[in-house]
Amino acid sequence: MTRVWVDFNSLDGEGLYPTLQKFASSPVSIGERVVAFDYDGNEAAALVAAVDGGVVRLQVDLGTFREALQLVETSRPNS
Amino acid sequence: MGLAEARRAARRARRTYWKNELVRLPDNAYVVRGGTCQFRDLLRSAEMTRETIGEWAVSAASGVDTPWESLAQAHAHGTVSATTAGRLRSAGFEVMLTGKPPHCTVYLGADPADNESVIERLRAAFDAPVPNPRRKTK
Repeated sequence: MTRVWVDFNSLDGEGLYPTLQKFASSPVSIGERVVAFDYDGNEAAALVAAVDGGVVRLQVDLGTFREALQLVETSRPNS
Repeated sequence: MGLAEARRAARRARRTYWKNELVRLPDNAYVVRGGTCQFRDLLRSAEMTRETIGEWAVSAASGVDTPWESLAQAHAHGTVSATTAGRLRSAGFEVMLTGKPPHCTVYLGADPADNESVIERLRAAFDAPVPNPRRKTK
């Protein structure tokens, strides 16, 4: 299945996650099911909702979100 | 380029970004990104935002008088990275509430592909990642 990098922080006003065609492992088209991923190792199933030139918008199923297993520090953010 | 360019970018984006009013955050507002601020994620996010809204920027969550724990829960990520609007400005960036709350945009003001120090400055402005408090409530 095609893998498409996405920033899971970046949600547009329509609830879709924008990304770029060039960040896909192979070119994607509307209606295609893909795996959205980031470099933290997080993944989720997604549907290609729109393709406009090089811009792709994904409908991500956050119910399938798989967190990366990471060791992290536990310091509290400073103001 | 620094804060002035980042502010000009924010003003340009005001006219285009989802056609919503932008809100400049106070310096003490928490800004939280899901994940660990990986260099490649930030670089790609900036490139993607340049393509979609015409500005070098990355997304995060923020809000006026909003605890960082509440902002963290907006993210699906198991870890989050936090800072404040003031620290981002001190590092040469601008940050505005944009789109649907708690979404905010951190304007970089420069092409990070041409100047990797932009991304390094951005990463350095965040504290070390911590577990997302959301995990405790699952």
